[in-house]
Amino acid sequence: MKILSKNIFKILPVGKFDLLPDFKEERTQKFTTLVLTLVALSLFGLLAINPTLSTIAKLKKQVSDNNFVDQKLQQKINALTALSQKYTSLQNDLPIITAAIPKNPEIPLLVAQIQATSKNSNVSLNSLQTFQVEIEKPKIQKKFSSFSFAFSADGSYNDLLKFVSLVSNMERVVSVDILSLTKRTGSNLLELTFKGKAFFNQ
Amino acid sequence: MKRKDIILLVVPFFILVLIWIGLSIYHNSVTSTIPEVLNIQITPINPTFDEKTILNLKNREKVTPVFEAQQSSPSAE
Repeated sequence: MKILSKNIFKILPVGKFDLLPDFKEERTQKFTTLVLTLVALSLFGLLAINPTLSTIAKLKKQVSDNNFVDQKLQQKINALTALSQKYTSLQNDLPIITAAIPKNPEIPLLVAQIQATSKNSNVSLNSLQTFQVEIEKPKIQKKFSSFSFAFSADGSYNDLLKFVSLVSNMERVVSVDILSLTKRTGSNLLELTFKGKAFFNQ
Repeated sequence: MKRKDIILLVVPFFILVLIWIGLSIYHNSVTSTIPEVLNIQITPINPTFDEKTILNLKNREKVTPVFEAQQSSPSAE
C-alpha cells in the first residue's frame, strides 16, 4: 500500500490525463478559483441565501401588514364607538326612519296611506295596483329593495297636484317613475296615472 | 470542455441565480399577507349618521292610513 501510494503517478499511463488542466499554471489556478467560487455562490444562493432572504422579506411584510391591520381596526373601533353614542341619541328618531323605509315591504300600509292621501286631497282613486316584490337576494348587495306600484285617480288640476305632492312627500319614501295627466272627455276633470317605487330595507 | 464553454455556463447560471433571489425577495416583500376576510373586516366606516336626511325625513308629511276601501265620489263619474 505504501509502495502503491508513492509510485501511483509513475504507474498511470502517459497521455491519458492530457485533458486535465495544468494546475501549476497561475492562470489556470485563477480560472479554477473563479469558476468554483461562482458555482459555490450559485448553489449557496439557491439553497441557503434565497430561502433565508425570502423569509426575512416575508416576515418584514407580515409585520408591516399586521401594523396596518391594527391601525385600521383601531380606527374602526373608534368609529363604531362614536356611532354607538350617536345611535343612542337617535333612538327617538328611529320610528321616523323605519316609517320612511320599513324593514318589510309593508304593502297594505302603503296602499292605506295612498288611500288616505287621496281622501285628504279630494281625489277619487280609480285603481291602485302593486307589483311583484323581488325576494331573491341579488348578487350585488344592494342597500335597499323596492317594489313598484301604480294608481290612477280623477280630480281637478289643483286637487291632483296636491295629491301628487302629498304622495311624494308622505313619510313613506316613494319615487316617481311615470306621471301623466289626461283630460277626460265631456268633463272638466283630469285623470292622473302614477307609477312609482316604494322602498324597504330587507 | 474549453474555458470559454465553462464561462458561458457558469456566469449566466450565476446571474440567473442572482435574478431569482432578487425576484423572490421582491415578491415576498410586495405580496400582501392580509387574508381576504380580514381585508373586508378592516374596511373603514363613516363615523357619522346622515343627520340632514334624518331632518328631511322628520319634515315629511305624516299620513294616517285608511284601510277601508274608498267610495267613488259622484263628481268623478
